[in-house]
Amino acid sequence: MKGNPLQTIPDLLHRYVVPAAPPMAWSAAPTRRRSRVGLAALAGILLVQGLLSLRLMNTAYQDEALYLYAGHMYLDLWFGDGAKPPQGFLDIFSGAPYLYPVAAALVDSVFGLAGARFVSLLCMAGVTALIYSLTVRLFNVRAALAAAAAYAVIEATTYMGNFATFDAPALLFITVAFWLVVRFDRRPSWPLMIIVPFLLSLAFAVKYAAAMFAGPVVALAVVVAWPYRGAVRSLLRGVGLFAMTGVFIGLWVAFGGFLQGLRFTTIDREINTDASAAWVLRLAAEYGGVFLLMALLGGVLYLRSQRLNEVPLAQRGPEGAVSPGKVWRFFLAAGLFSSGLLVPAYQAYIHTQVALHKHLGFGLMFAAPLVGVGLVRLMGRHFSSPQFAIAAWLLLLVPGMQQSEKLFYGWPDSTMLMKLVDAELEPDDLYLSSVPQVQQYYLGDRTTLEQWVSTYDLLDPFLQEKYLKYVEQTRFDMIMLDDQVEPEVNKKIQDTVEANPKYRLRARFYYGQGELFGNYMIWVKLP
Amino acid sequence: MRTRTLAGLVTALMLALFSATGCAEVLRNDEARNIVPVPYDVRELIRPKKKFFGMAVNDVREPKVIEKFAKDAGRRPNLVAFYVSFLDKLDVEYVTKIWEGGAVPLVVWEPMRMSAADVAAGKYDGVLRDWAETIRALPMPIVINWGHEFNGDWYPWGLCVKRRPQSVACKTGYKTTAADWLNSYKRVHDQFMFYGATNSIWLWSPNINDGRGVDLEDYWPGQKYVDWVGPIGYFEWSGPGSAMRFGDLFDPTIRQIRKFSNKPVLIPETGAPPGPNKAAEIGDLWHSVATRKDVVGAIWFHIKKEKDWRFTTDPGAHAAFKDAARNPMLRLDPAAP
Repeated sequence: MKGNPLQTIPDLLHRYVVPAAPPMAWSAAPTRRRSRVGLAALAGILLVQGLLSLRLMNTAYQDEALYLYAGHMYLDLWFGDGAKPPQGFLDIFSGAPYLYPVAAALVDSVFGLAGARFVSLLCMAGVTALIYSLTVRLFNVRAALAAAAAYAVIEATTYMGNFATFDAPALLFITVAFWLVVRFDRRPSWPLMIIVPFLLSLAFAVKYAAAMFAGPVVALAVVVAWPYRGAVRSLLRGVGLFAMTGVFIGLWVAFGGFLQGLRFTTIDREINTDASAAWVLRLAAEYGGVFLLMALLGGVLYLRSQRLNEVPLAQRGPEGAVSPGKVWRFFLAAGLFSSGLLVPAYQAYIHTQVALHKHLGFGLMFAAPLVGVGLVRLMGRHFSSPQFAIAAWLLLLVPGMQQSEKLFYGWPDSTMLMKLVDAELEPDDLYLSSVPQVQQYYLGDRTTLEQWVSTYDLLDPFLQEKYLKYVEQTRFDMIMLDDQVEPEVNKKIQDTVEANPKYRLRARFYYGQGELFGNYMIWVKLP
Repeated sequence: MRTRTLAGLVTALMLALFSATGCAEVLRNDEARNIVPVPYDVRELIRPKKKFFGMAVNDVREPKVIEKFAKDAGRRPNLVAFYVSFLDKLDVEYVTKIWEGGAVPLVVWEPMRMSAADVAAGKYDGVLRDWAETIRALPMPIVINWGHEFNGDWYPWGLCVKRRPQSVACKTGYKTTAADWLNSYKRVHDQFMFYGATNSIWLWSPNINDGRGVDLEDYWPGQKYVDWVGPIGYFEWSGPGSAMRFGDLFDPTIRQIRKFSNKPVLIPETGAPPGPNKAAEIGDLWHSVATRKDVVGAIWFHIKKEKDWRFTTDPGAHAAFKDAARNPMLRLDPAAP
């Protein structure tokens, strides 16, 4: 408009003209201010995530202890004069023992268990930050913040963020791969064909079960590239990624030396059968049900209407891509949502609940952007009803806190136990323990593997006879039983110990919360 | 994504995580994590190299009694027994005083106003928990003697036999059977162990008088429930000029017990009435305790009840007691056995 419409009042009174409104009052495009505000809010979300994880305090879980111990053995082998780690590590671990365990052991040797767990927190915070970033790109800042806020508080995130195992790094590698295919959805990029497959295969090597998520990453790579690159080129990209991932994974399997472990822990379902499919699904609903429902809501609402913000005439992307139609929206929403179902479906199929509460976090990472969309839609235009989104978020936060706490205190704190063992430790003594991994980890090079017999060994009838005889003959100097570990042999051991007057109960304590609890009993020899 | 945004992302992440670590560190303490201290280790006291030289007191509110005993005997007791009614709280201040004075406290715990069957059924688990948690937290050993002299009929938890309807055991109406008593003992022990009070030492204590024809094995809870077996007996029935010997008094009962248990013997109560044999009996008691491998100690009933059992009743007995107390085998230091 030229000039001031209020130039002269008489003029205005004589010919009143409504000024033409601009086509847009504001822009939908990301501005520097918007991204700064978004990042500040993300920092707040990560702070909450960190607090939720770090508030969980318990001594090392047996898996953490075993992996760290194994890592130290490899370090001693490579850089010291340590013995070769037993073949068992390669045969029973659910990830390559020379990758994550070694890295974690390095951190552990400087900062201890808290340091190793902090690495997991860094990984999980990275996952949340990447969810934010890729959701900004797929949808917008508001949905991205909601997605990050939702994912940051669920049980799997909280738990894995303070747990020194393969899970967090494997998930980070998958998330980086996913972020890369979203980030480079518009351009031809040949390095993508190497980096993404490599990351996916690395996730697999770090934790075998992570291979399951190569599929969703490749499929979603095709979906997100489609509007920009067209059908043929995006499909070619998918085929290329798939083939390269296959090649990389094949190389790991061929030269990684862990085929037996891969079969034992991940593929061979006969061994791990421990729950009915219905029970697995029930557990999955308990830990991830609300999140998945919100993702479903977000997906359905996104399918109904593409509009993500109040800006008139806002287009999805700045580069003049084809406006996403209903079919594309369906594929995106279905791809993200169904990835979230992958873990429950697979574990129900192989009848195992082992680590379900962690594995769910892998699939939910894919579903998180949809949850963000769902929460934003619940909030309405111009933040008209934030209470619905807040209430929905609380439905994630409160069970997430409760569940992560219950699971994290589901194993005994070994502070007292270690004080006891420490005081009794003799180089020639023999110990029977439900979870010798924990004691071996905490004692480090002050003990040897040969000094420890695990109650797990007593599942073998021959060894059971042998070691029960040891108990009768008072050959174990200390016996430590967790009544929740191998309960089928615990009763026999306990009866044998209690029938032997040369043993006396030295300590007994109760641990746990809710339905996860147990008793720890420690017997010593009388002088 | 621009480099600046990426840098922002990384900075946000690091700032958030370091603040979180700081906050969590403030919250970190053992109490929040329910970490309990390691219970006191009583292992060395079960079969100590030296012996317990114990005394029983009647009134826990009179700590001077122990000082007086120590002065009169020329040696401090290293085991002090006192009597507590089941529903009373453990006097932590008193047991601490005993322990600091160099003696292991021994609680003779008497379920006076309830049936053993009710205790066995778990009706008093609250009391047991309270006691167990108190004891577990104490940095000392504590001996528990639950429902002693169960084979007699002079306590409510004793055995009521038809031909003695006027006995306390019959008159209270609890009609305690061997199984009731046994189950109550196990309940008390199991609750103590459940709450981790492994610093308690378990004394199983019948009376040597088997006039009711009781088979002690019916009362035997099993080896995991008992640390010491404790026949109670007094040098009461000696004729003039023929002092009773330790073996005469206790060996018949010990032989009966040895049919089902090899646990060490601690005499939880013994004494001699005033008379010409008192000095000799005192001498034989402590000599036997000091020399017999199967006996870990004895407790002198230093109380005037029905008869004056105190060793200070006549100069001869007093001198014999002082003399016996000089035996270096009775010099057990419970804190460093």
